[in-house]
Amino acid sequence: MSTAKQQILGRIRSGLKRGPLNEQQQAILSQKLTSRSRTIQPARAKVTGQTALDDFKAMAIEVATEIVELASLEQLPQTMNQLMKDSNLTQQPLVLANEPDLVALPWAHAGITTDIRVSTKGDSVSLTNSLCGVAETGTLVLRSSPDSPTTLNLFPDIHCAVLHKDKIVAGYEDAWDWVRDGDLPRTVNFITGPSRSADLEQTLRMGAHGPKRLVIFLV
Amino acid sequence: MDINSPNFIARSKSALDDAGLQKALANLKAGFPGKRKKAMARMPEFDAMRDQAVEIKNKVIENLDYYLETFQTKVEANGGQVHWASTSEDACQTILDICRSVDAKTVTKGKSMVTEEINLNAFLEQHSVTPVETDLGEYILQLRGDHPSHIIAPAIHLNLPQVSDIFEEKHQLPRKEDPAELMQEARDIMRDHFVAADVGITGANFFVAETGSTMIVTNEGNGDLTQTLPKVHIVVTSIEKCVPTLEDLSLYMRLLSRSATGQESAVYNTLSSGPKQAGDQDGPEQFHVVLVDNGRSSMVGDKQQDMLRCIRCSACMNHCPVYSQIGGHAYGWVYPGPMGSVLTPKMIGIEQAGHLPNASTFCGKCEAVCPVRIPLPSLMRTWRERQFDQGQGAAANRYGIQIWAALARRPWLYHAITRIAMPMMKLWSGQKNRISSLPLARGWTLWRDLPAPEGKTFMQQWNQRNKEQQP
Repeated sequence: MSTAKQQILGRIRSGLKRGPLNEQQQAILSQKLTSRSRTIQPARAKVTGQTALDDFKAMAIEVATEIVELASLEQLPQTMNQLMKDSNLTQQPLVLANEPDLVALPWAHAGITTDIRVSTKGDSVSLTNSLCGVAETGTLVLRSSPDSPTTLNLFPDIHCAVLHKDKIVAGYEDAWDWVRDGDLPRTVNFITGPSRSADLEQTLRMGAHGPKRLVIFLV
Repeated sequence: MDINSPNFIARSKSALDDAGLQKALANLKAGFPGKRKKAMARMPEFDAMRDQAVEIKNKVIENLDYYLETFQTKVEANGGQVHWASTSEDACQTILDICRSVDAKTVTKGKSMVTEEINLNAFLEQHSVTPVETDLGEYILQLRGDHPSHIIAPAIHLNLPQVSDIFEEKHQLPRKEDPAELMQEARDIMRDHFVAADVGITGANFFVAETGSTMIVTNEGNGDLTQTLPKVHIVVTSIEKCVPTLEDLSLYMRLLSRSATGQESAVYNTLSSGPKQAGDQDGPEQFHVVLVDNGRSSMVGDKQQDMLRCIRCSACMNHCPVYSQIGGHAYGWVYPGPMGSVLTPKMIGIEQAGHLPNASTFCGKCEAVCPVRIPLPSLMRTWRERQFDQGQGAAANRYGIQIWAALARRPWLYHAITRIAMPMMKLWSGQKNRISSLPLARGWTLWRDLPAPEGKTFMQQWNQRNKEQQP
């Protein structure tokens, strides 16, 4: 045990006027740590069905996230083609997460060049899947994995993400349950809108260091 | 950062005379408090959530040793390392050692008040490691050789032309005055730094014992790029930022953004749990957490213990009538406003920070808006008491308080003196019933007149009324 650690723990215990917790006390705390017992959840973090979907869309739009609804994933290449045309990005590659359902789409047929890799400086547009969406604040949740590098969510000017409607949950706690259902990933990103800063005269402006646009394809 | 708290009074006076600063501070008054109020209105459960947030943090402190050790075990299980630092010097040395172990030349930094507190940038520079602040506000300040004047809006004391000036001078590019263009310029330049850095340093708004994770809460995304691209990620945080579980974290996430900027959620709430995993294409190869104490452990069991609940949202300073007049630099160290007036004396000593707990009107707004209900005015009062007990403070104040205390404990004498003083003050005021100059009270009468008493003391009037109302 390092000296600094001993000193710090010693001062804490002397402040609390006790020694280390005994095994029984530790067991009680340890049980609580894995109990997943929830704190007070606001009513809007407990909605279901259509209300959750409507709330998600409304909250996302409020923070300047763009929502594009698709009847099926097959519509995605054409829709993406239009988006890239509108943004004068047809000469740019689409940096794609290595997700089987996304990779399998007929991108070349839609006139889009894809690059399956991490994102780096100069990338314009990326496409990822997402773990889930949270209705209470219109938040997109992504988990890092070998097939979904975190840089795709951060570096490009435009980050596009596919979100299936049945993956919209009510509150943050539901999202954590999804996260904990697998192995804990290196990173979990809760993303609520495109990047912004209010550091210039307290006025909120879009496009600080992260993506300038966040587009969610709701399938 | 140099300690300038002893010069608080002079610094406050010059802040009041600084037209640019006053213009910038007007933006604060017009911004955060109103936005917070709107967010409150949309969350009817907010007060109940605050109560629970108090309860959870209190339990964390009661078992802090257990939670810190559990956190360390989890971080190590995730493949990361935890370093304990008793003092600022220890923390800086630990961080430098990690930088040197990978031969780091430059480090990018996400916004972190703890690294301001330990004065990390100066230390790294002295040892030939170049820190680059990546938060837009912090970056502007670093170019200017300046320091944050607010814990979440660091450059709040600046106006746009000052940003144009410094960018033009340091970037050697054509001058820009449009805010969007200034932001784009910073974005372009920062991208090279993100890629070039050997080490990324961030703070943590929270860390989670259950999973061994840290969380940063930001709007710009700079913190995320800082911690994702370099081969080493160092999280510098302080021991009280612990929450037990991800459920508890959810509660504090809901409280923090709304209390801070009035946003329903900040843009990026990012949970980090260790280094790159097998197969990961990006992310750091090493994950270090430096747990900084720097006086906090001695607040456990102390009168200031409630301060350990603080989640650094800045609501107290956003609503403070003193902060909003003088800004953050007047306070003379890292943490300004009411939370700073409680914390700073603990960290740099009451001898140096004695003015701060006195720079309060005790209006109570800070406590009223605090998401974790820290009794800030009471905690400031305990510092005032300690100052008095230690014989510090201006002699006039001390004698004044002693005289008043002597009178207050002898009601018959108090009443006798006020019965004489009231009519005399009335006489002194002359025809206009207002006193424009009064011995011993020049600080008041220099700026405004004192209304003259009506001639009878409160107790006289009270007794008279009681007599009249009796049948």
